[in-house]
Amino acid sequence: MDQDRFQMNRRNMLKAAGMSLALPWMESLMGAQAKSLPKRFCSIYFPYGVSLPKQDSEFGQWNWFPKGEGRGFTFNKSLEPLEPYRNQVTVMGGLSHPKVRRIGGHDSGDTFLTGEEMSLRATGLKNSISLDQYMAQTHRLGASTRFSSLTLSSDGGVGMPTRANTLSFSKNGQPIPSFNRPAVVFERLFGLKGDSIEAQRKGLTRTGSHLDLLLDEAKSLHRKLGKNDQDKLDQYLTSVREIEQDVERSAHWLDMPKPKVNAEGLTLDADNETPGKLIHAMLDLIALAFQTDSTRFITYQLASMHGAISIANKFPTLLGFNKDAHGLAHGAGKGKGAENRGKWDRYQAECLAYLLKRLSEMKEGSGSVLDNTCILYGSSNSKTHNNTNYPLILAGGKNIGYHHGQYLRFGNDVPLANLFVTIQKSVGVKSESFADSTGNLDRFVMQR
Amino acid sequence: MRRAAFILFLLLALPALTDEVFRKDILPVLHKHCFNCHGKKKQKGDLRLDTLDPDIVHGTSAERWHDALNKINLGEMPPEKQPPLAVSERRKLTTWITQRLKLAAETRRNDLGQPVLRRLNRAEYQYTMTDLLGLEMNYSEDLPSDASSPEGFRNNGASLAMNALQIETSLKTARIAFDSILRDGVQAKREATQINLTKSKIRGPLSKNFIGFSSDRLGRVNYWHGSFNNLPRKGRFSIRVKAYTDRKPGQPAPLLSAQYGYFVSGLTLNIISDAGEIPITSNSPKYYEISGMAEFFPQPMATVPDDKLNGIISLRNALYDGEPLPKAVDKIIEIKNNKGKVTKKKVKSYPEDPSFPNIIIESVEFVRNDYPAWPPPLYRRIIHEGEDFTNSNNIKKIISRFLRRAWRRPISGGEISKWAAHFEFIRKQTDTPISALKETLSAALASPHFLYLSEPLYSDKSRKLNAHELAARLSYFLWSSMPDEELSALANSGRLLQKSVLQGQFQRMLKDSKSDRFAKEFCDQWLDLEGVNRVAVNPQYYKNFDNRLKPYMATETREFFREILRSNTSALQFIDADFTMLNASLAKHYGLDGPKSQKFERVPLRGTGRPGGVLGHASTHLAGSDGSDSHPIKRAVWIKERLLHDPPNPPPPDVPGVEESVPNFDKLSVREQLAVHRKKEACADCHRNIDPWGIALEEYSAIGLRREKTARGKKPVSAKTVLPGNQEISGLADLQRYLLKQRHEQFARALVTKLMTYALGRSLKLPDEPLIEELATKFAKDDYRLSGLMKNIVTSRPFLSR
Repeated sequence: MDQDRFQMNRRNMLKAAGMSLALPWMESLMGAQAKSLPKRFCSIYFPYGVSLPKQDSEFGQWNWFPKGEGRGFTFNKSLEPLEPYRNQVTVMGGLSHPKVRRIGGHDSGDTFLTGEEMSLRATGLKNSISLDQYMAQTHRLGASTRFSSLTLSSDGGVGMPTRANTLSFSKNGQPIPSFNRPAVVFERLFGLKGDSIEAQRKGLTRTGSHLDLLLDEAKSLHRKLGKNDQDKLDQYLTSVREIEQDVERSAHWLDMPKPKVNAEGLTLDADNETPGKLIHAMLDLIALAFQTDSTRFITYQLASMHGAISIANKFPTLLGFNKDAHGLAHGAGKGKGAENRGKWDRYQAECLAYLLKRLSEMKEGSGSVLDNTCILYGSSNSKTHNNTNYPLILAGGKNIGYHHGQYLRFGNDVPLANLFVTIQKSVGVKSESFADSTGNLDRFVMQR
Repeated sequence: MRRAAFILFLLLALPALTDEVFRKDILPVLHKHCFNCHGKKKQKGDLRLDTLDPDIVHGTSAERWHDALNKINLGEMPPEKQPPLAVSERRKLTTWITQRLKLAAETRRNDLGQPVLRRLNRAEYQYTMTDLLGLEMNYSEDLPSDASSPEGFRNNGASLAMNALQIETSLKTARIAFDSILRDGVQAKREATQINLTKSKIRGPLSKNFIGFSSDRLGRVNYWHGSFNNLPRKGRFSIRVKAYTDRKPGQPAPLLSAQYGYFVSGLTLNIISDAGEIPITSNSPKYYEISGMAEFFPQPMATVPDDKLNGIISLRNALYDGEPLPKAVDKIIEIKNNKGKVTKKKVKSYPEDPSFPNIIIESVEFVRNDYPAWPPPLYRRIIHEGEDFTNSNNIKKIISRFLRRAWRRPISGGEISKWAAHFEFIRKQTDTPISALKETLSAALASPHFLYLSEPLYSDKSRKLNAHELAARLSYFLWSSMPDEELSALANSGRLLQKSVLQGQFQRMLKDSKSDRFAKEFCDQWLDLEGVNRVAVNPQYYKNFDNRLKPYMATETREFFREILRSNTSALQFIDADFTMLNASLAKHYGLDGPKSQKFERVPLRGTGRPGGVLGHASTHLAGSDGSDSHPIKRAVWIKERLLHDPPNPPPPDVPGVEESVPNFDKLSVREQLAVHRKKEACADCHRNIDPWGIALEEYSAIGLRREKTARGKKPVSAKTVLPGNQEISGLADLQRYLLKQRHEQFARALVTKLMTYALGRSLKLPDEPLIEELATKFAKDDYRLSGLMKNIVTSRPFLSR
């Protein structure tokens, strides 16, 4: 990047926009241009937990958790698709968010990456910051890419409290809207639509000017409001400030052409009537976003935990499984129901394996993109309604310190946030705590 | 911790000492009948009464006491197994709670204390932009989906959050719209091109969507297609078709459907999208026109050279009478190559149905830059005749006129100066004044004044709305959009605040076709018609099910709502009616005689065996299923939530699935599984009151047809059940009779509550209770007419104030 030119542009733009904001990320950006390889995080979430028949029962092979423990474990049928990546994954059992155990069984989806006790009683249904945003925003690790983070889901938008359609929450606990149409994500990341760079720059400058006025309008409206309405309007004020930063960021990236990627084989027109194509298109986009270093933090919610609300509830039916997602979950305890649900677990594991395959085939440095990416895959239920013993897989990240090829069981005295501490440190956060953590899990999953 | 709980208990118990009536008359009854299950040892339904603050008026327990009162009034409590309340005990208890609740409502009337500043939701944004600018465009496509409130409404201020994406998208969308409307410069030349039928078939990946042949005679399968050079990248175009139909008297009019798009020479790449539909009614040739804006259709990359770029138009007969497409037969055709050699080839052919009404195309013309006037009328809406940009007063006029409409209120002099100054500021960055205007107006459509229905209030205390706020509230209730000119004028003069004027406007607006938006938005949210989309029909059990039926199912319910509203007849018909609204496909699905086209029409049900009311609609059955079998709990929760406004509590945390403790649970039918469920202690208390409502609908399959066996296990179905209050019923008809006889008041109250919640855009609270009561009484006296109820809501105190 041509630093002088960038600084010139920035100054011009600020002048034109009449803005005089302190922009701390800019500084950190300049510092972050080191030659080291990117360190990334991706979380993939699925609802309702997994099939958990007794290991020694007739359908025990459909228990999601492997047989055995430590390095000598054997995958059951549900996770068999991961066998080729055995040394790239750690299966984890027993972990959960202690505070989340106190809230409703279907209410825990929002808190997968936050650990918040999100109930009326405890927080008035307010959430707190999610792990991805904590790393990307609070610690500005997302500052050196075109997009600081990317939020994906099958439903799109934000959903409603306890039934969010997103895994990502801002520092105020506000849900960050997710994208659910592959074509829109592609356009955002790699699209060539639109005007010349000069025209775009002018557009951004004008947007910058508008924002000042809009902020001013919002502030004067704010003064005329009662307390409750003021709280509501604060969301607008915060949003305008976020856009200001986005504008700054976009202006910086204008001179850098969007990465050219090969769209062949991408099923960008997939929608919720073609879930197989949809999920794979999203996974392809995750891989491409990482490969092109467009962003380093991605969350992807495969479905929200509400059969009555999530459009993704019908995915299993459309893919030829014999019930919808919620229906499968409710039969999962034993018998044939465990097998039916187990087959769906296996399908989801195949999706994860597909992502691992894509990432491991993308060369980066002396290894692959996967080696520089930490993936957290799992659910906030063990089986449906039950907020303990989350089924979790930690994958990738060999270059950033992880060692895998094991199945770890923890007691329920270990908060999941301890794992989050390990993750955030591996990606570059210099902090030893997250939410209600009591330590870290370095000695279990990091190379010594 | 324990000590704290004890002190808390003392504090809560304290007011009891001061309430003599409570101590003397109420506490003993509660002791005798309630504390066993709702006391220290057990807290069934998550309710504990012995520590519930009896100071209903000043405490925070009013809502819970209110729930308890409802349960007693409905006869659901005490449950059948327990000794019933004596008449005097019941009277004491209900009178005491009722009186205290009334007092509490009065005390809190002036302290609503909940946010009502609400953002336009996606639908409202779409309608408002369309009405404001007059340009048909998909404005809301890129907006994130909206959150529903706990009651299921998407227009609730508390639930609708704002985020950066929302504002950015609004700005971007407004820019796109103004680029289309505020065309700069002289008019490009209008040019009409004759387009000839291309005899060969459509090529490329698209071809799979086209069976039959290219022809000038359009029946069930054949299509017309043609191409032209120099596809316009921008501007208004028209497709002019001269056509007639050979339909016989009594046959439905065929629908001419046009698709428009492009292809690139040398590539088998065809990209098209729908341009519109017109019914062809006449038996003699006439001109029909379908118009659009080129920029809203699929666009090739800017790098494709213009001489490689071609437009395509395809026309079809979109009349669908519910009959399947004809089956393919083999046909031998002769192909002559360019040396004149003839070869024979076998192809698939789809014979046309001779009795189907055809469209006969005589000619097709493509007209580019087809503006009826220049500048176009939509431009003139914003910039009037004679308003040039050389005069800064004109700028101010243009801006203030636009802001007045966009922000739904008068604009102050200060605001006009501020925005005119902004225009001047932006002007320095742009090449032309019109670009600066586009930018300025776009920003106005991303401002909080546009995006929020703002009713500024210096404190959280209630006050009366002014005329402009009332106009906006009324138009967002009835039209989901901004006030029109007449309403705004009445707001300007202040006359809207007169009751008679308000009522007059209500009648006018309800008659306007824009009130269809109310019917759609309210009905969809009240009855959760979106549920139909969330279920996939399992082809394993329903091999011949055509997925195109799913949207029609939702439309049946929506049209049924519209018909009841339009005909000004009783809302009790939602529970049972002797008619429904069907089109050809859905009538065929139900096995009924019905319309011969896809237009929804009123179809009598008497004597057909098909049930009436929303409980008989396939939309209800499908949404209440998992796509294979019925899902009685889903159906029950839907009835309780949507029709009776008595939503069951969500399952408590960490309830083990019932399936784990019962051998062969998965082999039982759903009904049997539920029976097991109800026997389990942990589940029984709630499910006893839930399941029966859904079981009554067991005779209807996932796709809304009568059935005798379940889809999965082929087990016989039974719709016999016992409703709460020991009411034995069997099947849907029984349930409907029971609802009409025993629960019509509850249903009416529920509907009043839902309509109020929607009209006000906020959740209802205790202070609203007396009004709900009053409206429900009037509603019943007025034979449950929806429009009467809506009128009473519009003139009610909460609607007129905030």
